[in-house]
Amino acid sequence: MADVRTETMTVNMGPQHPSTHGVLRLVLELDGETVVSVSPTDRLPAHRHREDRRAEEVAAGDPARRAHGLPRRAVQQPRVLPRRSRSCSASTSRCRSASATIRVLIAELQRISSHLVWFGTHAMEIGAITGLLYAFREREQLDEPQRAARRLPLLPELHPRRRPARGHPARLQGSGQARSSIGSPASSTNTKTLITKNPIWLDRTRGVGVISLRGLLQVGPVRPDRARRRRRLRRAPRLPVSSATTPTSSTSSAPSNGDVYDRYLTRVAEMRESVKICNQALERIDPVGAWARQRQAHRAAAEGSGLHGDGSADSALPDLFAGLHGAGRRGLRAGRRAARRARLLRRVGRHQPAVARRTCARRDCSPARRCTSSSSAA
Amino acid sequence: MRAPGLFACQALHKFVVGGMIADVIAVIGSLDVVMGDVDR
Repeated sequence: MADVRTETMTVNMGPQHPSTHGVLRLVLELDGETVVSVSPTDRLPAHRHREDRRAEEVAAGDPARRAHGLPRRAVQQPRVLPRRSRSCSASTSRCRSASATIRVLIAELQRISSHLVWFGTHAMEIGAITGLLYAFREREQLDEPQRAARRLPLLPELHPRRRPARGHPARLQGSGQARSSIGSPASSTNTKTLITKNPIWLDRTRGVGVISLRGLLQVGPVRPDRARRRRRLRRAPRLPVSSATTPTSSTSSAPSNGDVYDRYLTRVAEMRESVKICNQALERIDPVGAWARQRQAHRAAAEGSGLHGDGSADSALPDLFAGLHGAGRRGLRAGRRAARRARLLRRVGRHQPAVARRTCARRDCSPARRCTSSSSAA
Repeated sequence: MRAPGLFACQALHKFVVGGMIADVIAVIGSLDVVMGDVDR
């Protein structure tokens, strides 16, 4: 038999391939249909252009252009959380916990939204086109509670300024069967019949892309030391899934093969946990609203203690009241501005210690510097 | 900040090498690489 010389073939996969979403390019070395090596790259004109443009928008500082690239609310949370420590007094603790609940709810809703996009596109890439349609249908249902929460504050300090009714907690809680719409995506029977138990899906994903735990630890982001550090740093989630809502009779065993199917199951399970957290958060949200309750409490306290109802008494209470509830000119910001002005005025009025002036004949001798030359006059 | 997309990209060869080219698509989908993460 003649000696046939074979050689590998190098091909580009992406960015045109739908599974690479226009931004990922893999340089694959193939031996027949078997992959010999892979080299991912993101050095693509389209992708770089997009990131550069975004960076330029931020750097330009033009609010109109920057608004174009405003991140989602969940992404804004890291910016919001450090400010939490500065917030108000102990009397706002109820508002603070309400804000925390809303933050968790929004984060989880957006996690489900994001995972649904993954679910639809992943299914479509493997060949299940209908999955995408269902995923986006569920995603639109999730938009409603998110829209209801749009005006709700992520912090006790941030208040709905315009049209507060739109962000009313009751609206969030009762918004368009919020609970049922949140409950549907991951627990839908469509998911099971369409994808999870689909024989073609099982054939295409089981035993594919297997990675061992050792291999994962070698290359993955989750190394034991890093995981420990992250656990120490992270305080979230503040709403742990209670045992009451955790199903005791779990039909599926924990995925342990490390293949594509296991990763699919894990992410779907993550969505289910997310749904539970959302439901718990919805139960915790007070339909009246923590801010309204606080206002009632302050009003009752003011009346009970014989203070003027119009808040004209010289007490800190009306200030707190105005700070918590006033919008625009009477709001917390206005109060802060006034306080800052008062501080500045105090500073101006305070007697400033005179700088010890030294007069020196030397031209290079500055008054601030202690002059040691003999010609300085005391 | 190190987002998981970078590690997923780095680890791609562990999943893909030795497999079929058609499986690369399933692997990319299961890893859910976000290229915005890689750029950070």
